Amino acid sequence: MPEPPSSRPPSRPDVVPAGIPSTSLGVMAGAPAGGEVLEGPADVQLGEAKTARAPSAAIRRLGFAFWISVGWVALVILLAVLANLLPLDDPNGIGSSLPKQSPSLQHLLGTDSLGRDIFSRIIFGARVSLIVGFTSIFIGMVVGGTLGLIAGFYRGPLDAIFDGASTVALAFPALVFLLAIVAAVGQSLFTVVVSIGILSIAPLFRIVRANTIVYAQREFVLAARALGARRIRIMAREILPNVLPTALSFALVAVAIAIVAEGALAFLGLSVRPPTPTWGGMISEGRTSLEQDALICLWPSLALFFTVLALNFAGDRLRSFFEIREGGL
Amino acid sequence: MIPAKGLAQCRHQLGLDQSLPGQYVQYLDNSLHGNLGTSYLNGQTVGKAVKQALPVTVELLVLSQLIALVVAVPLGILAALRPDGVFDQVSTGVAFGLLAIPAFMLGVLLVYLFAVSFHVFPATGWTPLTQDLGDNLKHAILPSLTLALGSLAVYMRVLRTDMIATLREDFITTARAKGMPTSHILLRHALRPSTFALVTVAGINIGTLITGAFLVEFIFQLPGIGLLTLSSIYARDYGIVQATVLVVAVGFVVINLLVDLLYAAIDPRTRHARATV
Repeated sequence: MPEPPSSRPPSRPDVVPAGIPSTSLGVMAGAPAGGEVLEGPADVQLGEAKTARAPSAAIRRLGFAFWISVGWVALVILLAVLANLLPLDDPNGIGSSLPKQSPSLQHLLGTDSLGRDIFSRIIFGARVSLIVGFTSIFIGMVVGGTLGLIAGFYRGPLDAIFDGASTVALAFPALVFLLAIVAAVGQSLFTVVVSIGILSIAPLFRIVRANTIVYAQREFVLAARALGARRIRIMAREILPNVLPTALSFALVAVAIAIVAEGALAFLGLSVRPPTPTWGGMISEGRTSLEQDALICLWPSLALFFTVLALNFAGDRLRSFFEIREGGL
Repeated sequence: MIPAKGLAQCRHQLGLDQSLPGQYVQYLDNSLHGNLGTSYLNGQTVGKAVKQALPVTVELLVLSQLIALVVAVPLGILAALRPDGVFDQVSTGVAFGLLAIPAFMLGVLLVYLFAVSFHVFPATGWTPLTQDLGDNLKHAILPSLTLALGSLAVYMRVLRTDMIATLREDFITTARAKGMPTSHILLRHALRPSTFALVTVAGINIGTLITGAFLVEFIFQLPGIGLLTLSSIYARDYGIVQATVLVVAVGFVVINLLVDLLYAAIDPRTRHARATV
């Protein structure tokens, strides 16, 4: 559909009033933007709260906090990949050191109730979290994304069936599904990755389908059609590049959700079998000695929290970065 | 070793000597007649076990939603009153942080704060509602709070967004022009039309909530459906696992249906949609 010129987002870098910090962090920290400083009593401002404010270009930038988030995830990935090369203690070396030691130079984060080095266990535990998070969402992205692209492009009865199926799949409580599978098939890394991957198909399908429907109606698709491009080409070369950025930013958030799901399973003792370290498992083990040494529980919790927060935040920022219509229409 | 004869007899009793489709049809038939089977381990009927566990889970879910709504609605309204104001930004930050804390971490954190450090509430255990109300609430408060905090963050953000949009509507301007007090406008005029997304999200959230309830029951050792399922998984008692998954799925569908019916109550337009189109 042709857009009237007035509906274009009025956000261009040069329209932004001076004095707004360019990082999104600054915006979040409460820098007064536009006319906000003039705000009067609440009942006077009630109706027009911020209606007229143009989405500032500061929001368009990814921002400092985004790069910190990316940096944290990159650091975790790097440490997990290089875990074997690093001078770390054996993560499963039971009894090699005294149990429940406080953090020291020898054991950066101390030792757990079996005398294992917590720092080393967190890094080796990151492997499970990252493998599950990224592999399962990769499965979901490939299957759900492909189906979404096809369903959104062709529409018709096939689309209706897929859409209905995804509604049913989305409705079911995820952990109950995971528990049912683990109870039936048994616990292993493979089971966890595949079942979380299956669970992630429906939401990713939805996002790709919704975006495909929007782009399939645009002029450049019509133009490609008029030029005689085949459907496969239109999907792959015209629509996919437009849908991919949004889908990938959602995928980052999905990775965070998958990591939490694995953490929950591990917490219940139903993820990868011990003694392989997992963050959820470490939290669960640390829970039993909360009274003597809460730090054992704290470290893996922090690792999980910051990783999930970083992925959520990076995904969220990317989404609003790619969301062109935001606020402007 | 179990004698072969006893083994065959046991298989026959449990119906395991029939073909798989045969077993399935038998299972469906029994379930439809209200017979969910018996536990493989102790011969207790599954129906009885589920009946004992269900009230605990239901109380947990209802309490947590009450807490979440009672806190989220005022906070959402306050945040919408001045979008991007100090309160809005602080609440956004807190909500974002809360969303990054998985339910099981939050549970452990609350146990540490309120049970281990300050001994305010018990860390585990349960007293039935019918036995002692005060003791029941004491045991229920930490688990409910754990569940509530996650929902709370979502509800607050959703209500805020809708509320901001509603406050820009003409009828709000009219109400202001008539000189109505802000609190009256917010609660009587703006709140109801701003709750559609909240109701939808609350409906969708039930899946997450049930997931959370399983974890919370495990952490606090509450004898609800979640703990029943988990202990049955650990004990390989498939009869109970099957039944609890069925109960959860059916309960989930019923709640979602109720949420859909709730729309009609909140939004008169959906009651005669055909007339307006």
